[in-house]
Amino acid sequence: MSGETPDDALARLRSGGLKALAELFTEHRDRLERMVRFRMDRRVSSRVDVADVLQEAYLDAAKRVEAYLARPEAPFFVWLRGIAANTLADIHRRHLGAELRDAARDQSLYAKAPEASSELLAAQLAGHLTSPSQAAIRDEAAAKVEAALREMDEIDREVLALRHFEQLSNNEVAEVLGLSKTAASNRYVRALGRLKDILLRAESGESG
Amino acid sequence: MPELNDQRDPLDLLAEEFAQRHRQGQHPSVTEYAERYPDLAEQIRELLPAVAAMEQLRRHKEGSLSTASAEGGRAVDVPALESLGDCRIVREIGRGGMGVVYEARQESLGRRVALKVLPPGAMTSERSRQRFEREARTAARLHHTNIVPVFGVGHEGGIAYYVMQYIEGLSLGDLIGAWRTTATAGSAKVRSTEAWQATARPTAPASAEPAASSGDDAPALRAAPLPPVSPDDTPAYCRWVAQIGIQAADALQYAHAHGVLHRDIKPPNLLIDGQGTVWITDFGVARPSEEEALTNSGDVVGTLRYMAPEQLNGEAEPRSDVYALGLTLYELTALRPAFDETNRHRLLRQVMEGEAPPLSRVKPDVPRDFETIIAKAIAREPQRRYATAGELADDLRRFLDDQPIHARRVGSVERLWRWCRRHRAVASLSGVALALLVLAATIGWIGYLQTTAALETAEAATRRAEANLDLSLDAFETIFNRLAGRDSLATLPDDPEIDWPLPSIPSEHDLALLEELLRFYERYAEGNEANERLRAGTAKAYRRVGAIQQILGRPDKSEDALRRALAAYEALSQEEGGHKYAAEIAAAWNVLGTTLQAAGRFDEARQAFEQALRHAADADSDRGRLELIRAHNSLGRAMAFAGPGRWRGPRAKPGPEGPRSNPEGPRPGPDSPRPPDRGAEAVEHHRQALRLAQALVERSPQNPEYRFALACSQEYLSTALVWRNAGREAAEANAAAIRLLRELAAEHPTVAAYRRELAECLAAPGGPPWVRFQSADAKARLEEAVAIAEQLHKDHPQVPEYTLFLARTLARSAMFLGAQRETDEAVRRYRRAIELCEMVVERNPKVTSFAFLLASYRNALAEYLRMTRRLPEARVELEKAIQIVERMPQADDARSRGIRLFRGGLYRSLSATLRQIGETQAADEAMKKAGAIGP
Repeated sequence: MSGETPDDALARLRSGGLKALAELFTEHRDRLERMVRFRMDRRVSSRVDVADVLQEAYLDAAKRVEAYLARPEAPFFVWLRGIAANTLADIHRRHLGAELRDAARDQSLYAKAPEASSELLAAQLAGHLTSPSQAAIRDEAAAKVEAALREMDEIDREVLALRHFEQLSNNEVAEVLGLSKTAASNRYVRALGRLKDILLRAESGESG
Repeated sequence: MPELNDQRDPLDLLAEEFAQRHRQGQHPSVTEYAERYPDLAEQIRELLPAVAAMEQLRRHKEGSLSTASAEGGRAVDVPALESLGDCRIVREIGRGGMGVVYEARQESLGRRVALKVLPPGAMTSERSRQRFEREARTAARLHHTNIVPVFGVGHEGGIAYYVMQYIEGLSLGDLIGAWRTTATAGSAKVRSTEAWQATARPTAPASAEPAASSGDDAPALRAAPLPPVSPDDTPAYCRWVAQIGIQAADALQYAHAHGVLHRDIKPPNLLIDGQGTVWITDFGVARPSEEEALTNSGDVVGTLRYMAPEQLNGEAEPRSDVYALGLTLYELTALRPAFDETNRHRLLRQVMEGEAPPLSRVKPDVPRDFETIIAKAIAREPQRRYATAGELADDLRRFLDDQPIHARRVGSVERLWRWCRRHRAVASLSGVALALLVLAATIGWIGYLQTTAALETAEAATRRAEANLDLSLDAFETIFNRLAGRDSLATLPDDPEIDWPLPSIPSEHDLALLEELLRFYERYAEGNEANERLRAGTAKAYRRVGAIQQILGRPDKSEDALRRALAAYEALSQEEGGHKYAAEIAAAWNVLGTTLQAAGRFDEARQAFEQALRHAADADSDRGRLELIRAHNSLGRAMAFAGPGRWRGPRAKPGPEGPRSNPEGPRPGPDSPRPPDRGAEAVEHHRQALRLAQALVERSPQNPEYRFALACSQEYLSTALVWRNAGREAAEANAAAIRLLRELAAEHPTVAAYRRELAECLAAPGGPPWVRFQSADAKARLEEAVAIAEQLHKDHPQVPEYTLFLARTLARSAMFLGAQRETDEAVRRYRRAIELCEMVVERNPKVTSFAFLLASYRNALAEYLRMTRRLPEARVELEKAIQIVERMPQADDARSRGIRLFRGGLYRSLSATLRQIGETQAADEAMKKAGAIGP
């Protein structure tokens, strides 16, 4: 779990205003940065700096913080992450434009972040499953893992990314994905099972 | 141990703990967990390896991502230090590829210092140790108010470090980051220092180059001097930036004078303290110029983003530091880097090939002089920059003192030119390549504007659009001048706008590109109805395209372009209410008149010239007067097509030298109204033109446009006078025109129009043919005219105008030679004229006037062949001429009536020829046809 309970954050925001927001933002910056890094489209990441995304997200948060304090429907970090996710989605839209299928902005503050890139995930997994000497068959393995990941349920893939790459707690994952805590937990375990299948499949692909 | 609760899957809790331990650097074993929770052992063995794989993957990912930034190297790993030599380390204040900077206390002297420490690995080679010590020695030699003093250098336990004065302040890099955050906030009301202090991270990888004082603790930030003005107040802010620039440039000038280049000037290396004093720090890559041999000369060090192009080639010089300082000031002003590419390869390309966008594009209200100074400092070619940092400082001082600066603004055409020079492979500067290039560039801008519009205020976007358009219109101008070969004229001090002489002509391909460019402008202008300058530029471009189309013998396209130009001008004129566009409108009408005349639409042509006359009279400018001259001359010449009228002068008496009769001309009886005296009208128009031209030339004796207008007026007057029995005056005017044209042709050998008129004058020596051919120098003059015409045709083989001019001159000389009984040469020249004319007709089959010319040359040859009794040949020519004329469209307008008369004449000639040959039946048939056509 992250540093403070939601109540702490709210209390600090109410008493400390924008200064408190800035401090809180800084405290969560690492996790936000991880989220952005992991989810930023490669085409965009060559043009936009992660710091830029975070700056923009901060400004957006500053604009919306009053509304949030009036109706805090989610824990602070989940809210902040949602804002950063929206900012990132905006940036993707701005830079990729028509390339994005879904151009309409989700009005919800808790909008889904851009999907974790299964391609990237697959490449990374494949990279780790093979030793350097096996680099030649890495591409093939990556392709297999990627195919497997594509079969995977979207939420399962998200759960894995949130838990491991963004290091979110189960409760936070539940908030982000709009699931109950139990459902989020079950999803995670199930996703791990699917991942294990993928690993096995990739390994068998290697040896066979 | 996690507590199993019924809400969550127990395996989830185990996995969480397992992952957490991984994150803490432990290596928990799956077996350990399986043994601890035998009930879940099977699932544990199955799932926890996946958790481990995910965590490994995350670490790998973070590692690879953190090195992906364009700034290159990862932050170095330096073991935790407590003290080095005499210094007790207080805290780390900066970290980057080149080392780590600590705040420390020098115990012996009890002072606060900054320590720059190189990572242990960095000092393994003798070369790097030498270099490090040399840097420290170099820096220690420099004593300047604006350079961070270096106290000493040391080694301890394999760690090399040097000791500097601790500067309490901020780096410009931090400042830019902070202002950028608040500046982009707009109305978000977060312009408090607290807000940006919290978000700015001095140790973030992006700004990781050690800045001796950038700190993240509150006291340091409180001591940091914010600019006394907000970046929103651009003029005041730019003055503040200029002050910073002066200090830094002075320091660089000092260092350069001591033979030291900094080689890594960038925002993080410029500190600013509480008093507003600038401190240049981190001479970490500086090296004495004279010791270059010590380092590998091909070494590229420093930060790519601020590196001068020549420095990237390993050729650093003082101007490279000027460049880097210029980019730093640019970024401080714009709050964003001049070259903002984050991908290393693309950034490299941007630096090597790109040009930073003008400051005013990023910040529209930046003072022009300030923009000019920065632009000069960051010019790509070193020789265009300030020669020394001192010169940059001086110009910045002039800017602050409101004195004229020394840097010169670079015009958009020059920018384009430079761009072309840089991309020589792309643009060989042939008209075609240039046009293509501009087209691509303009379209590129539009794309750029569209993508960035969302980020800008509407006002800024508009200003930028205008700036871009400026460049486009200038570019069009450049292309036009290039294609039209008017470079020589464009450099003359007087109005370069006048396009009377269109010396050379673009190819069809060039023209197609121009048209495309023009359509682009038109679309652009449509979207910017409110922009007057833009619309005027488009109108003018249309007028010029109309002129080119006309010369290319494409009357339809010419008329279309000219009418568009006129419509645009009329609309502008109405809105404006005055006579601002009168000269432009007159010019368009003049060109349109010529086009219509070439198409045989004489009445409309005359009306167009009258319009030109009216508008030109409204314009109170030399430009307008020039158009007035053109209109008068055109009207004078158009009198020949003005329908029934008299041409001979009032005192005309058919003398022995005159024609015996005038069969076509009406013979008014004593009671019938006298037909208008067209000849007198023509002469009067030309005299007026002559007077106007003389006045212009008196005022600007050197202006070639005015002199050319004068020569043309004299020539036309001469031609008109011939028919008025004023032979002597005609000859004088002709001689004057020749003198003037010879001068012009000698001064401007590239201007084809001067030579063409000269040839015209030479071939028409001030009298009707029967007089002309008697003059002593007639032959020499005609031969010279033919030679000039041949050369023009050779220079512009694709231009019908010059092909036909050669044909006409050849036909004239053939007529003369025929009279001299040089029969063979005369026939040869006639045939050549016909050949040339045929070529033009083949290329422009739809232009009736060209076909008509061809038929008339065949007719002229036939007449001569009949005279010399070569009847069968004459018959062939006449039959071919008839063939041509029969194919011409027949309508009931003046032009078609003229063609019909000509056709009738051809049949009569054919009939006579056939009768002489003895083919009576064929002769009768031809005569019948002639009769059917009418008189």
